[in-house]
Amino acid sequence: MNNIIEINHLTKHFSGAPDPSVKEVSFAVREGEIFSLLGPNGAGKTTTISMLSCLLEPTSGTASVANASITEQPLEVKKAIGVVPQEIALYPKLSARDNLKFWGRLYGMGGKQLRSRVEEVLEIVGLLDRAKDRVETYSGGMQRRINIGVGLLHKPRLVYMDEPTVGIDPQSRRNILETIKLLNQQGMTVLYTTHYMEEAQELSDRIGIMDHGVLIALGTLPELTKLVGEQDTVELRITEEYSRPEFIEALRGIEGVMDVRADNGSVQLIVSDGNALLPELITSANAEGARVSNVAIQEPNLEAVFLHLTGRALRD
Amino acid sequence: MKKILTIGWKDLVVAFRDRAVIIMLAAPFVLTLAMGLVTGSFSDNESGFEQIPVGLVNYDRGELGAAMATWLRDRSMRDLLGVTIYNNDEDARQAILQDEIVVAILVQPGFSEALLRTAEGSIEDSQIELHINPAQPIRASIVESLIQRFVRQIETGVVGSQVTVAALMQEGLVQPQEAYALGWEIGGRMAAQGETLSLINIDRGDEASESTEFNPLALIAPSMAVLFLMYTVTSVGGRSILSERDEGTLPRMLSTPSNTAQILGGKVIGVLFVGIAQMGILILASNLIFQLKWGDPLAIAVLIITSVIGASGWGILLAAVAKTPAQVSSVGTAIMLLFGILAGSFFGGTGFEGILGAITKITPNAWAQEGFLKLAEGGGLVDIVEYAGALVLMGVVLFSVAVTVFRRRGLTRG
Repeated sequence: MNNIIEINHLTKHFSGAPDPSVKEVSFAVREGEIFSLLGPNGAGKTTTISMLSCLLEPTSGTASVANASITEQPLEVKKAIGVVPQEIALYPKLSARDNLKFWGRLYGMGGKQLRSRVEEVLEIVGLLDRAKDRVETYSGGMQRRINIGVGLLHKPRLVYMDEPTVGIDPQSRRNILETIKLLNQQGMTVLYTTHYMEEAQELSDRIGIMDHGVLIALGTLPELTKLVGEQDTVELRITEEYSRPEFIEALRGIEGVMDVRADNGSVQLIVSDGNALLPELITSANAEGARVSNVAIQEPNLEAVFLHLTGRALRD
Repeated sequence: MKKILTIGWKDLVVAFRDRAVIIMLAAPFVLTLAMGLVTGSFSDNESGFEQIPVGLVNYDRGELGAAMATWLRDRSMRDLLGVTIYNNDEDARQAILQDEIVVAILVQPGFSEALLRTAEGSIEDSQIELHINPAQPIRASIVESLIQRFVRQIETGVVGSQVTVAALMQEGLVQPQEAYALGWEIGGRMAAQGETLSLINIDRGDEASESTEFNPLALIAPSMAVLFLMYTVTSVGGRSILSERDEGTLPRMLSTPSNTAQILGGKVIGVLFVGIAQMGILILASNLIFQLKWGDPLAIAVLIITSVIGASGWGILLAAVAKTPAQVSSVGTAIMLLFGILAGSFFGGTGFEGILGAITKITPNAWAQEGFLKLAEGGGLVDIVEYAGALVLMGVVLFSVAVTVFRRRGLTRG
């Protein structure tokens, strides 16, 4: 499979900032895949996408999109990409249809081609029946869907989606994720950024994990979970006053427990075998007088990978 | 060009769907209406709009000099002119120096005789001298046009009397040696009759009536229109660039296959479109509602466009140097008020003198107001070339500076 994006040692250091926002990042995105950049807020995902959209000049390093250099041939790059920004970049006073027409014209479309494509996109995002209404009257989820629609207007080979599900209800999120899968099945390459582990797991062919501007891991989901070995994550819900250091240390002393984190009445343990250790963990909690209200065992996931690689949870 | 117009048109539509459009369109009307009521433009009472102070020195011993003095103080002129009689020209000149009067009208000895002797006379031939206060050229030009009108009316009377005498001679009713004495008598009677210039007014058409019934709104309405144009291009137009940056639509535009020049050009065109639409609607509506005559439509269109170009330069420059939309709003409002005060927009278009008067020339208000007044006084395209040129030059210079600043700072950065 051809690479549609190739990035080599890409760095962005904003003037006045103590550290670079993106440091020596290198990866490639294959044509036809969904590639996710996963990381907490401030990891450098949006800065990377901004450089790949030719909105920001890299401080150093190179990148090409659809065989065009982001610094030498920005117009060629822009023709190949559709961008769905994190914020809802629409005109609230205009209707959905007028918004789409406006953006379509900026992509060089016009006439019949534009009119028919606008109707197609409205159908894809499921808002054909509200097309005449001003965007300001839409719910957050509907606005997000039109925001995505703009990025699809000119049938780009590659779409960047920067956290497109932030701040919306579960139903709208589900709708958006299904749309992305559908577009990918139709041959569109998707570069997706998120800080939701579940979305990256569900959608992605491959995932790059970013933290503090650095790409710390890259691979398919199985490849990444292998990094943490055959480890399970056990989560104990307890009354908050028992999250004291002595209790945490007692849990850490149990054989097979590799790491322990306490957070707001929840204790997360990375263990070699969750099922085998569970009775001992509950006994230990009872001995300390802690009341366990809930127990969950998770097989290795991206949360565990991130915790393993950074020592912090993704949501931190 | 297509993309530039697309962005401009979108800005026009968005601007007119915003609540700010109420301020853009309604406020100038409300203020014009309020000032019109204050100045008495909508009523017959004699209070209100400040009279133009003029001085009259009448050295003429004939009837026409006296007729002019009577006419200047006639009831129909009282709303417009405040006439002070001086005994000599030295006193009148002194009054100009002390800024007490706008124009000194010096009627030279023999004015009546000279005017009655020739139908080809002009103010100069007829020995009327106007001494103008250089600090108030606009108001002086109003007085000048009134005096010219008076002289033309007298000339009409003179020609009328000459024609009458010639006809009487042709019929053999008057002998040639009696002609001069009879003509002089007819002319003298005309000037001395109870209705003063009633006979001279024989050919006085609508144009003459309009000229003497000067409407102060012709000064107020353009001032208000330009004042709020400044509000639109700074607070609405300039802010739109920074708002789009903060709301993400500007970066999104830059992620399409469009270059910075197209996008900035589109935003500038958008500001121009909004400004032109605002001025056009105001002028049209004031014409319909207040029956205000703005003048030659083609020249008005040219002046609207050039006024918007000049004013928009400030709006775009403000957007280039400001960091946030809130900053544009507050500084834009301050600029609007400052320019309005400098150019005298709140006082019917009479601004400062001296150094402050020179500084006034940096405001689009001053140029545009003078241009609109010229047109209201009956001027045409040729008469506003100077004002239109200055406004275009202002716009081009300010746009160039703004583009340089945008290039240096980047369109998407604060």
